[in-house]
Amino acid sequence: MSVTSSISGNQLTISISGRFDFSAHKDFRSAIDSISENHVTSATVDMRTAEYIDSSALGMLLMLKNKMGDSKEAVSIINSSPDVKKIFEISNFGQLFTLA
Amino acid sequence: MSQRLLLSHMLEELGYSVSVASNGEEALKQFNESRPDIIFMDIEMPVMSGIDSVREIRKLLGDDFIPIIFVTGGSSEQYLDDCIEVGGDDFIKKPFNTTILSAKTRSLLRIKELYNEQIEQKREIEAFKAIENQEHETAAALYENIVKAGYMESPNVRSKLSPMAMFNGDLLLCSYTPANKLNVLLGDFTGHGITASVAAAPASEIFYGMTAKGFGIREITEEINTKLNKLLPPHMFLAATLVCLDRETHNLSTITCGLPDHFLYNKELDETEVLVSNNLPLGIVPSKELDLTEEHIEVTSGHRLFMFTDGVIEAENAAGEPFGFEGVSSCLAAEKTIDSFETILASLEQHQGSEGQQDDITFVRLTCDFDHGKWDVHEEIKKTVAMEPSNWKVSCTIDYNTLKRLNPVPAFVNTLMDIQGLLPFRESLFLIVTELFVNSLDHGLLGLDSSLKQGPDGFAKFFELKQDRIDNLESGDIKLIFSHQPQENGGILTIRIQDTGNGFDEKAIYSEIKNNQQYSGRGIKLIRQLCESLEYSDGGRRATAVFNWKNE
Repeated sequence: MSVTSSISGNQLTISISGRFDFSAHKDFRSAIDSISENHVTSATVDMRTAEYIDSSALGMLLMLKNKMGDSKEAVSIINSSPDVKKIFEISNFGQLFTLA
Repeated sequence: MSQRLLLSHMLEELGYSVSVASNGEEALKQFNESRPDIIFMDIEMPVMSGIDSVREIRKLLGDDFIPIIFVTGGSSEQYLDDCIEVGGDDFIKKPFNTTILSAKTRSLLRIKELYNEQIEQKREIEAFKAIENQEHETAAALYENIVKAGYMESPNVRSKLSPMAMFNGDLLLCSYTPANKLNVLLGDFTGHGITASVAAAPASEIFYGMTAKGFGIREITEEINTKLNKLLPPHMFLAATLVCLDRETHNLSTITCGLPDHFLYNKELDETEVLVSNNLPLGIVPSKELDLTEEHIEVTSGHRLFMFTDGVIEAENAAGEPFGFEGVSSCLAAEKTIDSFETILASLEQHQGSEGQQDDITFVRLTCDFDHGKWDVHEEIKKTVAMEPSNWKVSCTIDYNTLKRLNPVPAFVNTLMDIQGLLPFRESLFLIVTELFVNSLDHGLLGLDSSLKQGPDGFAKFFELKQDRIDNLESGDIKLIFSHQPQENGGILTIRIQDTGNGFDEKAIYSEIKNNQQYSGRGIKLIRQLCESLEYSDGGRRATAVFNWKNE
């Protein structure tokens, strides 16, 4: 598992690789903490190399959304594999995030 | 000067305080009196050799650590292997060099310090672990009490919940409404232990409380969502499915919120329908944004609903492959002839192999069997009512706006219970008021034709249309009048209901039961059974039911 994040302009990009579970908690948290310091207005989570997500990962995404505000457009989750997409579907996260 | 005294002097020069012994036995005695920080030991000594002495000292030390340096030189070189074997940490050669002596002493004392720190930390961790274990046990016990507090056994529900799954925040709640509908909630909290049990308490209280008062699963789901939304931090939520099985209408209602797919197997047709979650998990957004989708499926006694949390799907075999939906559905194929509940459990156990602990398994089967005795209206609680029956009358009008938002029946019936000693007849009154109200709303105010309920999926279509008409309702109201007169050792409760709709032919509803017991018209039949009389007037806009009660 690894979490890398970068900020360009007002845009935060977080890339996940490997299993996205509780072990990502600390890194993901620090990516979220960078939001207020840098006046981030939109965030993208890139799941291209993520193999698996569990419910604590869903929880972390909710924390990110909470930080970014109510708008569904504020957080996009991109490049999800079919397995990961299935989990988002079960949880109906399409109502909360822009899934692409 | 002997080597011993020379070494003692040199160490004192370096700032250490030293005590000397002239042989191994004396060394052992001194060691017992005052444990030193470091020991220098000669090998060849009278009475007891240095090697024998160190062997004894190490025995006495057990887990504690004191560095021991063997003093070597001359003929003692041949014993070096023995020195290491009995637990010597280093050697120093005669004649002594101050710099080497100082370096060895300091480095071994540093090692001792590190060792002791590590031992201390280990002890702290062990103590912490013991506390944590105890808290886990407390949490698990608390959780079990909360979840089982209002649990009503049902022959329709078969379940397997491993202790570990419960500890991981899996939740199964089951209870009957006063109108004899079976409500079931299967849930899975993010987080576990204390966190999950704290959140499980309000969820199960709401479920049992509202089920006992006759609320539907939509209202219960919204209430749980509201509570959890206020209570839980952003990253925590409850994935859950709520199910209501209604014998009266043979209808299975489901609200699915984020659990893995469920399977509805029809034994008669050997067909499986997959129920995919179509709502957000609970506790994430406020209820007004939740916009719950509720599904209605007409079922027969051959239907079985299989539900599970992600532990079943994710259970891995030795090669790390999950049991998956395939594992479950392949077992369902066998359901026609054998008990698939056991089949699935056995298959899961086989899948997990020798390492299988089944430690995170929550698996529920709801059988839509409508025939067994548990369904018969619960035995009324016979209680002597101390209060003298009296005269009273109460009326209430519910306008179309209120009707859109809530089902007023549970609130009414509860109010009646408070006014008069009608408590023993709660079940019956609940049924009567529900049926009267539903007829007025469906056929009166909403103008729904009950023939819609006929045929396959009839109920589902009926419910859909009902929701649609309620949403678009722009006028009208329903009025309920309850009046009570005492009679010997009891009373007469008259319930009148009137609506502003276009009226309906109650005989059309009633007559259906002659043709088809299953689908509808049971309501009016029930009211007639429970009441002294039931009259419809004003073209169906007004109904009057009279309920006689007596203390026994």
